[in-house]
Amino acid sequence: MNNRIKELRARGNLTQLDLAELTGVRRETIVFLEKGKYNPSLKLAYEISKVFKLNIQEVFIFDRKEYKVGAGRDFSVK
Amino acid sequence: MTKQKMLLLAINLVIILVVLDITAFEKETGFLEGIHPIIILFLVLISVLIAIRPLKKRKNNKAALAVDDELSLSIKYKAGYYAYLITMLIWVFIFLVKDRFPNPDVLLGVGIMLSAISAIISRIVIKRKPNE
Repeated sequence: MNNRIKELRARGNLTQLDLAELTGVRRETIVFLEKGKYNPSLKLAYEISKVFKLNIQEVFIFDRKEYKVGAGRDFSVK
Repeated sequence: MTKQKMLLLAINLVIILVVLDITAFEKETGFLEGIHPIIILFLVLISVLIAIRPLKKRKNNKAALAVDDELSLSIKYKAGYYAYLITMLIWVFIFLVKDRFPNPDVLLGVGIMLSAISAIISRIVIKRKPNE
């Protein structure tokens, strides 16, 4: 899963430590998130999005193809 | 030199002094006779690591930082699971080859050491790619 944490953090003049403090995790977790090595829990994704005052989908970009979800079919409710 | 580096240097010095002290004391009294020096060093290292943890926790608590979070816990659980599986295989292997070694104490020591090593390696591997 891709994310815009690094970009948003730079825009908001926040250090990794600041973001870690604001979201209640360790700085190492922020490093892993920025590198795309770790997919956060829904709670952490929500906390991070809240810091940037954005929606979760504006911070975290979920690529359905990457995870082969739904085999490319559209499951949206009409 | 930062405070952290100073602390690490101090810890290293203490370890060396403790090992030297134990070695000197052992030569005088022979109370560690039969125990391999590497095992003693291993025990000292584990003791130091155990002692560091509360200090780190206290420091992080003071700075209002998390000591454990979802990533660190997930790494611990996964690494524990893999280490457990590997350890099981190690003991099965040791059980199969036990007749080839006359001294069972050596096998016991090897088993314990390999279990510890498997735990450390599992942690390193899981930490590299925590999502997988």
